[in-house]
Amino acid sequence: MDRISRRFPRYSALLRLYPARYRKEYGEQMLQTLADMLDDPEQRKFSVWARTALDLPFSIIRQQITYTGVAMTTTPNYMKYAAHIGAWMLTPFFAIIIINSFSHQWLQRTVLWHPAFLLTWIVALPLIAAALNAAALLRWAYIQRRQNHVAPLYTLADLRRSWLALVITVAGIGIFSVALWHDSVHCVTGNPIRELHNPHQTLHCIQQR
Amino acid sequence: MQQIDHDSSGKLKLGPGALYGAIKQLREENFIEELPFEDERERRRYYRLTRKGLNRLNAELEYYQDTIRLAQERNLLDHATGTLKWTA
Repeated sequence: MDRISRRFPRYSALLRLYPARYRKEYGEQMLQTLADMLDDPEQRKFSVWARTALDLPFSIIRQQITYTGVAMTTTPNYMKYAAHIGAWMLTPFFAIIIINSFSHQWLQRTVLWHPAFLLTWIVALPLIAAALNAAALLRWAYIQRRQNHVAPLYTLADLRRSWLALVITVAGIGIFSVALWHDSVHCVTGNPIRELHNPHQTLHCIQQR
Repeated sequence: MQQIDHDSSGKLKLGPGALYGAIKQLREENFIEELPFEDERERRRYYRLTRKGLNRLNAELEYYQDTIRLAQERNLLDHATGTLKWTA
């Protein structure tokens, strides 16, 4: 740690939240600028720290998003397609749940409550979305290992490129897992999502049917 | 930073994060470039306008000049104070 970093240890530590490339390019200049601002007799120290504290989180988020966007341009196209298709497949589930949360019992009065439709939007689509994105991730990990000798876990941990596929995979599996409980929960509450806390009661309910 | 404070009459208050975010964007769009530095230990970096940046600045100034001229032609500006004559 050099002199100026020692002067602002907390600010210096917070700069680590910026993307590494940005930090390498501008980190030291930012420290120097802060030092210059604080050393300026015309500036009030409190005002300098206040604007720096307000500015920092927005700036970090903005740069993280920017650099993630740049990284996404190097994401393989098949992963982008998988994520795109997967996102559309998950959309009905989230749209229906949101609409239903505004209008109680709306879902049960529509055709979407019919078993065939239920099976589609709550089981099939999320499962296909998850499988598609998991397959894309595995393919990417396999290719990286074969061509660049990168360990699969290391490839998957490259979140700047893999985050979207990972999110959709986890969401798809999550929805499917909830759907496994669907009939039992519905048996008790009439709501597939809201309550999952009493498996004994739901099992009993199913056995009674 | 002091210059920005002074030029905006204290209305624009930037922190280092916003300032270097803007500098990064201007560099990416090739409007400014970093001057070569002699001492590696020197933290301060200096930037200058590129030809593209200068052209853009001129275009912006022309645009504002045209806007002011139009406002004057329509008699919207108070010549004494340089401010709008009327407000909504």
